[in-house]
Amino acid sequence: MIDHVDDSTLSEYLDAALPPNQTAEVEAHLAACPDCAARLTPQRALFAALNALPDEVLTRDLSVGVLARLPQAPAPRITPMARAIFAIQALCALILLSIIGAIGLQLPFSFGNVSLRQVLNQFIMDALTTFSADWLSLQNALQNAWRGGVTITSQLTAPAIVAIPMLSWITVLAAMGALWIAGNSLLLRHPASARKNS
Amino acid sequence: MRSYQVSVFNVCYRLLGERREAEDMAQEAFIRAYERLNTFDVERPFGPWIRRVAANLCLNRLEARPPVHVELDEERDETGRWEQGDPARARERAESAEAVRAALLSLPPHYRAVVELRHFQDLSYAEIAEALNLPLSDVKSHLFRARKLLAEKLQAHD
Repeated sequence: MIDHVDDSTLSEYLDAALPPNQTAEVEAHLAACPDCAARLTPQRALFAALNALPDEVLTRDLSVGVLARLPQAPAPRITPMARAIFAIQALCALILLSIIGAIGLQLPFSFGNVSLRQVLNQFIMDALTTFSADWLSLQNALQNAWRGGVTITSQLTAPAIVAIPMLSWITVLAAMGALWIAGNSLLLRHPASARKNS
Repeated sequence: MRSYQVSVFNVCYRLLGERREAEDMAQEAFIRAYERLNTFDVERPFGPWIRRVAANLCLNRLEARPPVHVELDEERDETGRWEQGDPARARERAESAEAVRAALLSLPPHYRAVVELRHFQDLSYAEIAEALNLPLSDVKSHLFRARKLLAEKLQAHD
């Protein structure tokens, strides 16, 4: 059993800042010692008075003044390097679109040694011949329609594409892709800022 | 910002005791917080952080000026809340609050700051020590002496 609890310890006791064993000792003592319990009463009253202090009303909005004093965000600046990267990327995009466009135009007329129309036609014919005899008239109709379309489209012409080995295509596309990614990573690069508590 | 401005203003008002100055310091606290936003841990609540910033700013302001006897702002009575119900009880509460504010403002700056952080911001001793850059033993002694002075002032008032 402790003798008496000093005011400093009582203050820490009210703050719940004492270790558990000391808290238990103080509580046991306060229960048995009217003098110490009496000295605790004004401290409790002070805590209550501080806790009861009402908030003061704020009569004006402070945000207007704060926002007026905050520095304006600087306008984004495009550096010469970024300009060069934009230009290279635009050129890459143009070249890629040209290649894709040329391939798209060429495919219906030449697909190696066999035309795409022939491949498609064969596919449809094979599919239709597997149907029952009831579908024969439909097959004929479809064939006629297809052949009519073929007659029209076979009169169209498109520039022949220069034969380029597949490896060259892959190399060119991979190089352009790498250039594109490198450009974007340069453009999106931001200085990392360390975050930690003050 | 609007969510926190009342509490930040009240931190400044309790520490400075003058409405206009408290408003200016509350604005200053938000600007300081904006400038040091990179030191704020986003995983922790913003309110305690900005209030701590405000308390430190006010403490710096108090330490920078010569000690003077601070009178409570007279404007407070005009803008304070009017309680509904018993006018005598409302007056009693208002007088009690005024006495507590006056007692707080009579404390030396560091004592005022530890009381603010402990009683109104509910910081632990260790957190107060960190916020005010004081040893833990100083926090305990400041708080103890501040409470003793407050109790004496309030007893004298009664």
